[in-house]
Amino acid sequence: MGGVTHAVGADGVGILTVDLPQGLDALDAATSGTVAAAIDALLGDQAVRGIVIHFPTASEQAGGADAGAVAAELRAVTDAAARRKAALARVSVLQSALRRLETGGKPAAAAIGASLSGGAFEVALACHRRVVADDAALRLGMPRVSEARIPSGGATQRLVRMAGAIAALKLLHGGSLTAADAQAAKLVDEIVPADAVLARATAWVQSAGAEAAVRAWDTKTFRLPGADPRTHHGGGQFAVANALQRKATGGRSPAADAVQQLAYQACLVPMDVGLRLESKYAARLLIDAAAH
Amino acid sequence: MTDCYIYDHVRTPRGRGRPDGALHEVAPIDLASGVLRAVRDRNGLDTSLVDDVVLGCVMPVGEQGHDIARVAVLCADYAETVAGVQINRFCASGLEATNMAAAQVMSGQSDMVIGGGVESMSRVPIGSDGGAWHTNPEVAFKTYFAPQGIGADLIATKWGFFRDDVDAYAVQSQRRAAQAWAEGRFARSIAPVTDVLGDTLLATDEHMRPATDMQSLGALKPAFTSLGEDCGYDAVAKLRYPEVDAIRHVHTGGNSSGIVDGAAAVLLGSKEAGIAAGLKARARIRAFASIGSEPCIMLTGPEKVTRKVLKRAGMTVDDIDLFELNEAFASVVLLFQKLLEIDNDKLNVNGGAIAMGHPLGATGAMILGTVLDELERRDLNTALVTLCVGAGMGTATIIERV
Ligand SMILES: CC(C)(COP(=O)(O)OP(=O)(O)OC[C@H]1O[C@@H](n2cnc3c(N)ncnc32)[C@H](O)[C@@H]1OP(=O)(O)O)[C@@H](O)C(=O)NCCC(=O)NCCS
Repeated sequence: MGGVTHAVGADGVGILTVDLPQGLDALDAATSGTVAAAIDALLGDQAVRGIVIHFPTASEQAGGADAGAVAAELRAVTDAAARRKAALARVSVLQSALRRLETGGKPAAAAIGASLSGGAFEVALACHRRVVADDAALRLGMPRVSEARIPSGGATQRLVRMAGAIAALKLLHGGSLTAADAQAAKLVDEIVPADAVLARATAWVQSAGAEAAVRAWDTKTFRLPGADPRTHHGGGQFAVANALQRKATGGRSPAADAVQQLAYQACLVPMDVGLRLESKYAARLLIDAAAH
Repeated sequence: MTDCYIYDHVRTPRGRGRPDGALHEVAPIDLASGVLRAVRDRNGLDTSLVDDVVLGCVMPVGEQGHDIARVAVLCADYAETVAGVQINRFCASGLEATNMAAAQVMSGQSDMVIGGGVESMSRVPIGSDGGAWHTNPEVAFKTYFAPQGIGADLIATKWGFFRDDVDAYAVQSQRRAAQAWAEGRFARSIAPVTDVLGDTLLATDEHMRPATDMQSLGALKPAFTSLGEDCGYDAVAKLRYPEVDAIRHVHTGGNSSGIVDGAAAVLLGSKEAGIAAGLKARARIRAFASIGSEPCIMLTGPEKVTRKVLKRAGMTVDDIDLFELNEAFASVVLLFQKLLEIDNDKLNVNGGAIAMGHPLGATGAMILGTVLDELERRDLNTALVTLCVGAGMGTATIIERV
């Protein structure tokens, strides 16, 4: 077994299994394309009323795996406009499929049996619910940002809207949380015994109504958690986070700067605009890398 | 060019900018309309002669929002035809407001204008307005944003001012302010603030601590150590100023400008407008200027704008009888004095914001008035007023008696 597979049960719950011990890299077009195709297949299947995305094994992404190779590919595209288009297409494969999952009207739950970081965690974040194994060693988070890449599967936008900008920035700059801490940060809904993860997620999908398939930020009543840069207090928190980022990076990381900017924008624009910005910043980093 | 004259000026006393301050119960709109009423009443001014009211306000949101100048005009029962505009040049707003008001007169487009400013720091605290400069990461990074206090400590570090130097300056500010009050040097310009019953709420500057000495100041903790070390701002400043090893945090609540509430108004006009209103000119606006300076250290603008405005006026430092530099922080004044080699007996002779406080939007207009009163008292002729300004700027005005 292993890899990305999907099947539909008699109960109408589609199970997408993501078993990628090498990690899921949003810039890896083949694997991201497979995940995207599976999501679209389940969304398009009339028989499927809800989706469980099951992570049976740890899927941890090392930072920067493919950026160099992608930059090299882009270098071959000499026309500037075509290069921008190619870069955007490249970074958007996973993100756009996840947004379709999030807004597709079918309740989706992540059944998280082991540690996730990077792309796999971004997939889980796009589900309407996260059920996580009660395992003290399990970690959820993002790899350190490295030169030419930032999260491009929606994490810069979803983490801020779920956990607040300051907590999100800690993760986005390369941090991880235990299941319990992730639950406290509003990133995890339920922690259950490891052998019950798939069953609990499936049961939730079976009983979920249509309203469960809508994220808070896609409703009119959404209230941003945590620091809001438009307020006196939140503005101050942002200012300090900016200075601490400087202290940590010495101003030498365009990727870390992009992440900081995207977390700020996430507080101020609707989800689709934020995701578009995430893609543009991710693409710009690749284009800049291709220029060197 | 039309000459612009100063006919009068008034200011409120400055209240401690906290919920227990004497002016906290007064809404900023009432501080602003209060000084407008005062300047009208003491001059028997027909307000229909006034074209515009330009007020500085640095946190123009909430109850200081909505173009507070126009609303204050209405609340002060000025003629309906008097326009109002609020401007913001951060800490120099009060002076910039008078400069812009003067510019209307000098350009021949207005005859009589009031400049001034208002800030209730107790009711609309610093930072209430948000803004891209410190919150938007790309902007903060590009400009090496660090709060003013870090810039002040950076100046002290870079130019070698130690804790004793800044404290000694603060003691002098307190001593001079106390003496000025004791001798009634401010009396002519103070418009006491009254409450809803008509009782006096405040008639003197509330922030002063005349008993201040080196020992009491020496006991105070540096105010910006935590911002520098825990919040990352020392690192930001050192990225911009790699030649500085470690920033010495020497500024405290005792040698920094006080957080206060207050308002001020300066009545300006052409010669003809003064005659029409039956007023006697007290001084002429000789020149004014603003300038940009490096934004991270932020507070080095006064020296640069002083050179600029002196050049514009065809004058030198020696041609100025009295200098008034806003005491944002002690190091700002010490640097200004050092770079321009200004005699200590000519600079901030009646103390300043360290003793009496710095109501952001109003201070520039207040110290313009203070120095004019002092020119008259000493029978001197010329004064230069300047302030350091957020995001790296300086604003200055030269006045001369007529
Ligand atoms: C420096 C600053 C942060 C200090 O704020 P603060 O700590 O609230 O100031 P306080 O007035 O409470 O003074 C701090 C302490 O010093 C004491 N103190 C202040 N002046 C004193 C004096 N002259 N003698 C003895 N003690 C004094 C206070 O009593 C207080 O002691 P406490 O903590 O025991 O009550 C604040 O004044 C400031 O930010 N000033 C600059 C404003 C500014 O940036 N303006 C715009 C840019 S120029």
